[in-house]
Amino acid sequence: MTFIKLIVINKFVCLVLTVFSVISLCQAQSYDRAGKVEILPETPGEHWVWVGNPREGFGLIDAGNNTYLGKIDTAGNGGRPLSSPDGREYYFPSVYYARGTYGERTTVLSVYNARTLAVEEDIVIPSKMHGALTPYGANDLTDDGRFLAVFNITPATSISIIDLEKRRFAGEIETPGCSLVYGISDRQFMMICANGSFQTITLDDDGNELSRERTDIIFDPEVDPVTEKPVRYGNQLLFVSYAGLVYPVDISRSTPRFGNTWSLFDDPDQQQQWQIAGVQHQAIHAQTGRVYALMHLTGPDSQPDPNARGGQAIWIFDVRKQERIATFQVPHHAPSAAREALMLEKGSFFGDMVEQYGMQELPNLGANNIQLTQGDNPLLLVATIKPSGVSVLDPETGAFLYQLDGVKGNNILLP
Amino acid sequence: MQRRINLTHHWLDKKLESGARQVALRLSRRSFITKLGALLVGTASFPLLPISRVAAQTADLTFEDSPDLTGDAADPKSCDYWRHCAIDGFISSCCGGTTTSCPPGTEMSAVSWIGTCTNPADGHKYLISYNDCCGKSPCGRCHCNENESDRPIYVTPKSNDVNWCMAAKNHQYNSTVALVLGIAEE
Repeated sequence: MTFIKLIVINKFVCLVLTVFSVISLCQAQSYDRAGKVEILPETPGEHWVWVGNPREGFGLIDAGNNTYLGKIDTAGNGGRPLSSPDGREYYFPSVYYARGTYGERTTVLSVYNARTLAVEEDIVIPSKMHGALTPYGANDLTDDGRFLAVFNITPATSISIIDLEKRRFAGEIETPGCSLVYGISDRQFMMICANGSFQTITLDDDGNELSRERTDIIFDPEVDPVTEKPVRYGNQLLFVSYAGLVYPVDISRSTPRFGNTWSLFDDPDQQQQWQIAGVQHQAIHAQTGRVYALMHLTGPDSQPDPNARGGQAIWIFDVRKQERIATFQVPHHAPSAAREALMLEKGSFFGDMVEQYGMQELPNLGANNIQLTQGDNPLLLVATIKPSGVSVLDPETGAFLYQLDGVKGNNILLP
Repeated sequence: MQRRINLTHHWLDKKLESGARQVALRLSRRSFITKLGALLVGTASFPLLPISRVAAQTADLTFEDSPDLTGDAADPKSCDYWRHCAIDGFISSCCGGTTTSCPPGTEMSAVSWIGTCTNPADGHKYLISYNDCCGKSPCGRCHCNENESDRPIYVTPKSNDVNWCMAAKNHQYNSTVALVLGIAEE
């Protein structure tokens, strides 16, 4: 064989080998397939929070690593997502119209699978559900997760009881003069009454009313009402009044007992200078017994309703000692919002300039919602409406850690 | 049992609605609330009921703002309009309605909450009924959150955080009007 022929054959063999190599590589490469859907882990993360509202739905977010996990769609004007004690299900009462905004109205308690966030079941309940600004008190669970109560107002008040074990609407209990529901034991709900007393409804094992009891008048709703947003510290509920008075109530026994009040303010001057603030004006880290409270600096334009006031500071209280132990500043979201509105990159020359200018010149309207994750490594979350955003802070130092990506300021609730 | 509850509610609602309407037309908000409060403490079986819109709308048909009003206090689309001292929601005037009428296609709520606002034109305090316009999705324009004498939800007649479309055919909240019921007594 001539030398040239050998070269040609050699080249041909190399070419063939190259082609086969390429084909082999192609066969080892895999491609995407359609149809994959994420499933959440069995155990919820320690930093998971819901952020949202009934009308727009609730996003589930891992605030620890700034990850959006998914969402549940909801409808109506009131309520918050609730979790079964074993963490397998979420519950939310929604109001639907047959044609979106009109048509036959149906109210259902939706049962969501906690891993897929899909609706597994709807339990129809009377269409009397209360719809209002506060995320608390519209619905709640008994401590064992057996019964869920939904507060109704037509304007006559009542509560609808859903048996989650038997998956059925158990019945409606009239509650004239008293509103909202707070689960306080395996078979009891507490309500706030218009004259400043509290009412406890005790259920039997079928969800029917077994008994009810009303306290004496605890506070004056005309002079200094308590807000509808208590926090739970073990076997205590802590209600706070507009003037910053804490009303602790022991719910460990069949008859709740109110203890001595204590003030969030050291003296009358401080009480004039500061006011409680926000839709979610307080949060608690139950493990350490620390309550975090949003505080508004009183001014000529300050609103009389705490819901309408933004808190520029966070005061931290030791519940056991009943004293304040620290104060943090609320993050100023306006500068970064101004930079984004001008479509400037974070860290760029002009972006930094805008943010620096904003820090000095733009007003800090304060935060409207505050929340703490639980466990050994809690995070402090703060939401502002104007501008809209949620920040994550170090609960020990108040240091700003980061802002949740693409999350608008809204109610922040624990699963 | 459910039907019995509904009938009881209906009878109670009608009785108390009629009574509350008559009381509110005659009395100031403070004395109105005082009387309701006394009724509540003494007889806990009666739920609180605010005013019916029927008499309220009739009362406001002849009430005209003084030409002496100026600035935002005279602007029905402003949060500082004199009637809006306790309004929480979207102003009907910005949504296709007026201060005293609801936008097309909505229904004015049969129940509402009552505020008291000072008219700068004459210095008098007036009872203002904040009826909601119901049956359409939220207007989204001209939102105001003024809260003079507002109370938490459990003091229902004095709470502007409650959805007052609760008794309408369609509970969806669209916007709010501000009807003058009369002069509040001192």
